[in-house]
Amino acid sequence: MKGLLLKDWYQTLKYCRTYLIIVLVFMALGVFSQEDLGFTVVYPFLLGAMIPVNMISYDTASHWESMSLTLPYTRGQIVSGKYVLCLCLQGVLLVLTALSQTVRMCMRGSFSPESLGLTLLILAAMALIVPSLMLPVIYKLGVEKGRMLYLAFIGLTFAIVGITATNADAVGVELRMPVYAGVAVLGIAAALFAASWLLSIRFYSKREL
Amino acid sequence: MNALDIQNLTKTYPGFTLDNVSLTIPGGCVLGLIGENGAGKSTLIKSVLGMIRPDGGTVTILGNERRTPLVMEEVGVVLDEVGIPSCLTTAQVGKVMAASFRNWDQAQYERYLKALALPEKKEFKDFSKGMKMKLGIAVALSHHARLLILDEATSGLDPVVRDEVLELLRSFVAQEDHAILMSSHIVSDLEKLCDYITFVHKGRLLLVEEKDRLLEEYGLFLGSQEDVDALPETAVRARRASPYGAEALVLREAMPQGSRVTPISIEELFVFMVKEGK
Repeated sequence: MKGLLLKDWYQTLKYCRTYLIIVLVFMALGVFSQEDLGFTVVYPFLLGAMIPVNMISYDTASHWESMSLTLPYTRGQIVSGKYVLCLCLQGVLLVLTALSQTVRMCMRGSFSPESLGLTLLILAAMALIVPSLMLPVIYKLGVEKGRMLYLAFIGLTFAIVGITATNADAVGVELRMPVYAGVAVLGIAAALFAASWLLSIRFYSKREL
Repeated sequence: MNALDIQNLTKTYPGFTLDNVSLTIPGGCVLGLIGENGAGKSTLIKSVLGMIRPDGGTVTILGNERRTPLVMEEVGVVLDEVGIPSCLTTAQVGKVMAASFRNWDQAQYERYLKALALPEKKEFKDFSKGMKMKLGIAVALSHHARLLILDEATSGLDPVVRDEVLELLRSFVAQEDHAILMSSHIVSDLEKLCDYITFVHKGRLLLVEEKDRLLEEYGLFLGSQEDVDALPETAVRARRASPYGAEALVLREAMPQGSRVTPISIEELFVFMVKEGK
């Protein structure tokens, strides 16, 4: 699968530079802004979820979809490449968010490991849920319908943040749930991600190119 | 061991059926698939590569019925669109393939890049059609494949590039255990390279035959309509009116002694069989 990931990495560097710059800008805003930071923290993860979708879109346009099936990979490995890419990107974003939020909390003199941990748990869950819902649809129905679903999920995500939060703190909102509930949410998201992974492999295995 | 063995392969789409196709490519041989657009050549190749699921039949590649990564290590493929991501340079393609194939031979790849005058830093999207195809062939030949599958790999190339590509393929197949399955609209390319010729028409194989035998067996008879009508039925495979009278595709050995039969090219033979065949 190394070759598939390397190919996606080259493409990400070429086509998603703007995303990377936006992520860095948002991280910087997250450190220095005194405003509600909800959007600046959440948005990089939505962009991160979009990169594997873009890669599938480029694969279709360049006929790599067909070529990859002539290489020594199973269809399962081809699908898994996108999920691993997603995990890597979202993992890096989570680390960067942890750093920027720690710096921000320290600068404001309000560092709270519990609050930071809960924030990261919810962000990690969200980072998994969005691609979990998008990728199987793309493997079943194609990239365009997947993109529409993505837009719907951006709206849904912000609705959920609005429901689960009240006023500003480390991430611009105060999460109402205890830490163990955050762990449970992440557990559910991880299970959903695993199910999504298997479902995508199943869909792609049946697909004719 | 046969390089490729296809038995009773069937695939049905609305309005088209690849119908019960069987063919075998022994090691060391080149088989050319000739057929008009929509005849079923790409459906056949996609079925072999597992891109589509056949409704019936079996495909055995290098002795294996399953298309596993281990089997695909030994198969080099060039499709008509090549399929290399457009932003990759040839150097990056080499790195991706080195991470994909266990048998990747970087030195050989670089030799092909040099021989085919492919720039290392230019992106794939900036290549001409000929350069794209040459890169596809360089990749297919740089991991010690034993079977090459080429779908319209010479289409759209100028004669000089086509000649270069054919030369590479000749070198590849010079090794005894190497084999090629190649489809093309350019029958002259197949005629130059192939040991076996297969005519595909409306999803069925019209014939699978050794090229030299085909050229020996068949000939063209030219004469008046009356001359053609007088030929023995066993000799005539197809006939048609020509501006100068009539012509018939004939089996040489069934012709009366002394008949004037001229050689026929594979392209003429194919067109005759498809358009006038009975």
